[in-house]
Amino acid sequence: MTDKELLEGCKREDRICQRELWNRYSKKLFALCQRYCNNTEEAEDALMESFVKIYDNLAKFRGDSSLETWMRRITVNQCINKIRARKHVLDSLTEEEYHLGFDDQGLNNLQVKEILLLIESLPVGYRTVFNMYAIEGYSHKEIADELGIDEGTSRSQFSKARKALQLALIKQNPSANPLNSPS
Amino acid sequence: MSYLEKHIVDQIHDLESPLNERMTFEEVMQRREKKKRRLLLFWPRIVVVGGLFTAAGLGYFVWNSSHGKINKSVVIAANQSQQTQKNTESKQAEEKAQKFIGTTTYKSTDKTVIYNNNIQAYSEKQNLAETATEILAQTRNIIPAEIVIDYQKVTNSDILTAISVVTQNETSAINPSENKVSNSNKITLTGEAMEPAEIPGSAINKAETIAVSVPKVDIIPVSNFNNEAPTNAPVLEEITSRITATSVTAAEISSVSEVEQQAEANHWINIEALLALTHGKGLQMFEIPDPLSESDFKPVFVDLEDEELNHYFKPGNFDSPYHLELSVGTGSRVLTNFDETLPLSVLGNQYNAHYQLSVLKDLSNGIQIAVGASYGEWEGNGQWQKREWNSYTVRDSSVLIGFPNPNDRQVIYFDSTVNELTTTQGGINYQITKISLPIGFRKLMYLGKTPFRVAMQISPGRTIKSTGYYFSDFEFHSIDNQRLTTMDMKIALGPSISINRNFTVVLEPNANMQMFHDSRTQRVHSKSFYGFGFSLIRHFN
Repeated sequence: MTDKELLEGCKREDRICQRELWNRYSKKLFALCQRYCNNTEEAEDALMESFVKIYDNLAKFRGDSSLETWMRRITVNQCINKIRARKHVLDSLTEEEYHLGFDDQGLNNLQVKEILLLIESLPVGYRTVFNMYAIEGYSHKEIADELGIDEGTSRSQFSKARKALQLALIKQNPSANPLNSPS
Repeated sequence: MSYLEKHIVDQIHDLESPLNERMTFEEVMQRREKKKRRLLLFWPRIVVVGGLFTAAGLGYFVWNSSHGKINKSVVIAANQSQQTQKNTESKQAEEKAQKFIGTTTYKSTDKTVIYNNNIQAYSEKQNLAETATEILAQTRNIIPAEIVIDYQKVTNSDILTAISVVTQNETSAINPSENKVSNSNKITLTGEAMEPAEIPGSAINKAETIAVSVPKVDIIPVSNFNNEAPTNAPVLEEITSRITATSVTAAEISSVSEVEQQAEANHWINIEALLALTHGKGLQMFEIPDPLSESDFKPVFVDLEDEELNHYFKPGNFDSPYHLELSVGTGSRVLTNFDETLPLSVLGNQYNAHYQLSVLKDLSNGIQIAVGASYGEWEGNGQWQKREWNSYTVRDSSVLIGFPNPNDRQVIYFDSTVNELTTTQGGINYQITKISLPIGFRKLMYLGKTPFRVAMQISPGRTIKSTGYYFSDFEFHSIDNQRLTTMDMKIALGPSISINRNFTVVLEPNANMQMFHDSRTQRVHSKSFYGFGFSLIRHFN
């Protein structure tokens, strides 16, 4: 069953198609929820509510993007709502951390699992902006709209997230610190 | 160019996490059905909530219109003879401010006795007020009792038994107004005597009088005058053939006289004396507290569709514990009927509105403290009605009875007491503009899934401008050009509605009390209002 057939069936409230949609995407979207949310319960709740919204709004899907991308957007929004309900979205770094030099190109040399562990170690504010910008492909303007912040704030949060990641990389592998390099 | 390489992003996108047993397709469908039901009931619930508020408002309005004036203080008629002369200047100002509308006069020939009241005092203020109300009501409702008697033939003995007789010699020695004729029947006075309010500065004599109705008393018609009279008996002079009999006991004669003398001096106490009476010893205002019962704000739980709105009302959700609040509130109080039991009553519309800017600071458990500045206006437009009962005695007729012995000539006087009700109405208005510094608390909470906010505050302040005549239900006085110290209190409960991350609107049905201290009269005046308002809150992240 193609995504298009699945979509049409869901629009007709066909229970078989709806179940197939769940089976096909729920695990992927749950992984996405876990990247944003702090704990499993929160991620589970976000996923369930996301699917409720997806089923309710499938009729409004216009096909401008793929079905999966559209579903990911809805899930990300739901996760953001969860984060908002829990605590502050934005955090800040200390001055010492901010002025630390870094080279975050080393991030691409890591395995996906390692990258995810590093992302998970970020404060929730940084993690949210980083996930949205670097992984989901949101622009800073879109992030600002979704989070209700300025575009500049989104940029600075992402910048701080990069620095925090580099700090974490240096802690894991001191040789990655450019200050320690012979040149 | 993306920050991470595309293959890494794709790998992350393709990651899957295993679901646990709680996360099933059926569970999602159940949530969906539940949400649909909530949405289906959303508008009916909103209608029910709106209906409850409307019903509460209308109920209060009806209740206030029909019962709002019960238990207000009652003004007792006062002795008019020793009033302090009013300051000419203030009198002119009063006349200028009180727009005259008209006067109506009702004259009755009711048999009303002016009864001296200095018999006993009541210690209980409430009894005093109730008794006065009862007596005044009886006075107003008395049925004219006109008894027409033909005195063509009256025997000497009958006269002596039927009526009191004043001889000619006696009449020359006493005040004519005391020459009352009364029959010998017992007259029972209804109503209770009472002690008048004590007037500061002895502005009014303590020997107050009050109007008391007297039941109709039949005078026994006498006849066969000629049967035992000597043939050369003097001519019986009949001054009038039809008279209106007066029923008064001898005990009341002196009291009637006093009133007659006083009636010449003054017809009614002036406003100042009236106010002094209402707030003197033994008489107090009985303000009915308008309770804000729980049923007025009985919560109806409304499920909003998502919890995405919820977080805005938790103070901890924002980086800054400070919030800025701009609020507008209104209140009104409407009196639609004059109180016909009071000598002076006022009706009209009174409104207040205030605009407030406050800084809120989160404390804990959803409690916030608020400090700010407020500008408020308080206006009233209405009418006053003054009801004056004037009593005086008129000489209806007199009869001269002649006997063989000239010293035995007798004169019979028949007098009536006339009650005259004069109703005067006028326009009245006042305006108070003030600034105040409110301090209060806000409590954020949920009723069901609906976020609500309770707001309580007090606002001490000063007037910028005060003009006109402030009025309550039964009095008014000038507040022109005064700097008044004010104090407002407000409590509001209403739902919070999130506009976005930065702004929240709170709808605020409220009850508020406005007070001011009048430096001239050294009294505190207060009034309660009910109204509606809203607050716009700016959050800072």
